[in-house]
Amino acid sequence: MTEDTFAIQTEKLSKRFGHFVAVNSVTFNVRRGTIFGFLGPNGAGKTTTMRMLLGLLRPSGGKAKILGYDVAHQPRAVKKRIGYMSQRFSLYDDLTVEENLLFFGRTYGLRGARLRERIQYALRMADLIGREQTPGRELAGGFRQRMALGAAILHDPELIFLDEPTAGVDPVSRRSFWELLYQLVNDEGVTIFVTTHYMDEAEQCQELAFIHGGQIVAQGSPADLKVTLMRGVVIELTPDDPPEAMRLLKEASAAGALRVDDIALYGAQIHLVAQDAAQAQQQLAEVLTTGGVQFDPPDVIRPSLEDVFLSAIR
Amino acid sequence: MLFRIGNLVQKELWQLTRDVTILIMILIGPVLQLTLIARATTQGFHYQPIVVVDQDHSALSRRIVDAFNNTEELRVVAFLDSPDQIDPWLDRTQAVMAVTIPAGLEAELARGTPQIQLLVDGTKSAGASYAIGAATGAINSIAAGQRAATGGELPFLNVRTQVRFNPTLNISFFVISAQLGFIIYQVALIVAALGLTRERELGTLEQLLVTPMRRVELIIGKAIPAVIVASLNFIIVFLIVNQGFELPMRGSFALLFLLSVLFIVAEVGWGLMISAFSHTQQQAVLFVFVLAMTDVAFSGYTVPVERLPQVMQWIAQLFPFQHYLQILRGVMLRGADLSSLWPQAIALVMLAIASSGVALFALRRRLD
Repeated sequence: MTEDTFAIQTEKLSKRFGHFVAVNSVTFNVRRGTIFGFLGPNGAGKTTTMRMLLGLLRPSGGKAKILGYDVAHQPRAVKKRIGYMSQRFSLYDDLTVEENLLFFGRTYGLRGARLRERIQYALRMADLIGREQTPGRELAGGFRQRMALGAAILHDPELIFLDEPTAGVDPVSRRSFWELLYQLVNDEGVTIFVTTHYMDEAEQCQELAFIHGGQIVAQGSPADLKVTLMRGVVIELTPDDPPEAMRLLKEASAAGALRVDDIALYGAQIHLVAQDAAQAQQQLAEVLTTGGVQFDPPDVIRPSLEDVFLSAIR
Repeated sequence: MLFRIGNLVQKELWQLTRDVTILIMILIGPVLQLTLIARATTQGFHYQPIVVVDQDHSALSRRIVDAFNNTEELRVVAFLDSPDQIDPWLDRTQAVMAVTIPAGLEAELARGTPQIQLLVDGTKSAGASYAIGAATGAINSIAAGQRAATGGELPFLNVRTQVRFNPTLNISFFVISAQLGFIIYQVALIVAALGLTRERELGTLEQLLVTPMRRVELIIGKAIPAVIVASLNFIIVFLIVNQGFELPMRGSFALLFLLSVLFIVAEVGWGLMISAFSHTQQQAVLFVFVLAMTDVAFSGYTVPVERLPQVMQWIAQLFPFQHYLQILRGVMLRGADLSSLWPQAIALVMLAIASSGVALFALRRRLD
């Protein structure tokens, strides 16, 4: 039964705004009980796709099934079973934590003992015990984020949508947030659909889809993607003058003296993607030595997701 | 459905009680507005100083001066010898009006063309026109008495005057009742227009739209708090006007309250429509301003509806404010009931249904 296997199934899902095609015939499946990462640069169609899955936008073509229900035809059946946390951690600033949870809980039809029990659960999970009477506006970023997650899971959803959930949150809060997500997946068996453009977060997902220009350009587990999607090998170089080295390498590449597919600056390092590692290493050593730039011996490294991503959209 | 609407209404009321701006607008604003307007319309016309140039020195001219002093509006503060002395009084605003009674007034009576000249300070147009009114009234009543006594038939005293006299109290009732209506109008419109727009701006609207809450529930849940707040506001402002400013209440309060709620529903419909077209709260407030200006223009608040061109009079029928003002004045000042106010009541019912319907339609499309 595919409906038991997949939490989300889309088939040629498309969205056009006038002549602009924001999402172009996107097909993918999300297995139940997994964390599915949806990656892409800004404007790639990430948010539009998610809004269609949430029933906030009507697709121009194709269809989407959420937990076995067609979003276009049974939106309420879908909405009862999903949770959503937006980028802005949308909650009411002028209401207290408890009032926010009461309101959203009741909106999902919870009441009485069940409502109190779920609110206690959300407060414990979000580490907000003792802050029930704090107005939303006085919560720090990490608390706001966890409280928004708490509000999104009150009704025990089977599937949770998170739109760039850690934007603007400090690294420690980010780490503990992801631990929460793992807990939800492992203990409660929920499915999580998360958009992000942090590559380290993407590495934490069990399954990834890259969207670019409205189309899915790659899909698979992070490990698989690194093998199947990476064309060539990644050489990491640490020069003493990275900008000057970048300039020299790009010139050489344009002139044909250096055979590489891509050159990108990563902080103090330069990543080069080449089909023939040995040849490229020899060529770049010549270019840099001639140009007077000092450098540590270049290494062939395991590609990061970012390398894979850049390679996929090139 | 009722549970979810009730839940949303409760949340809205929690928020409204914490919103200082709204509270000021609802409670302090009206008191301030009413006090200022009431003072401006009543106080200003009491005991206005005038000067008299009496060149006739007759029994008749003395009776005219006494008549001025017997009005509530006028007090003769000085007698001048010649018209040349008038200017300093008016220039230094020590008098709002100078009355010149020409020599031979009594003698001219026989020929029937006596002239009394009123010179007013044009910069104080409101006070001046009331002074003219009061003076004319006083002169005319003497003229009427004189005519009755002598059996004369021609216009007795010729006074240059454009403004017909109305007892001042009526004028201030007129203005205060309009202000009462306008305060209710503002509150209903603003609360309804901002409710959904604020959620859209904060991003919480999206959060609500992914819950199982239906569009209709959301819209009704937003309309009800606006109706509640504006209705409470009506009671508060009514009490202020009735107790504090002694505006009479000659009709039934229950009827007035019912019709007020109807008016509020119609305006909340307009407010929701605005929230369907606004992206930000700022935009919504601007829309409310534009609508309020239109409403006031068509309401008879500043210009009587009967004086508008025919086409504009028809358009005026579409604005609930106009009908409500007639109801408000009818019930409060005349003690009118439905037997005379049914056309306005029916108009309000239809306008309330129309604006709620259009708002529902526009918002459902907008929320999709």
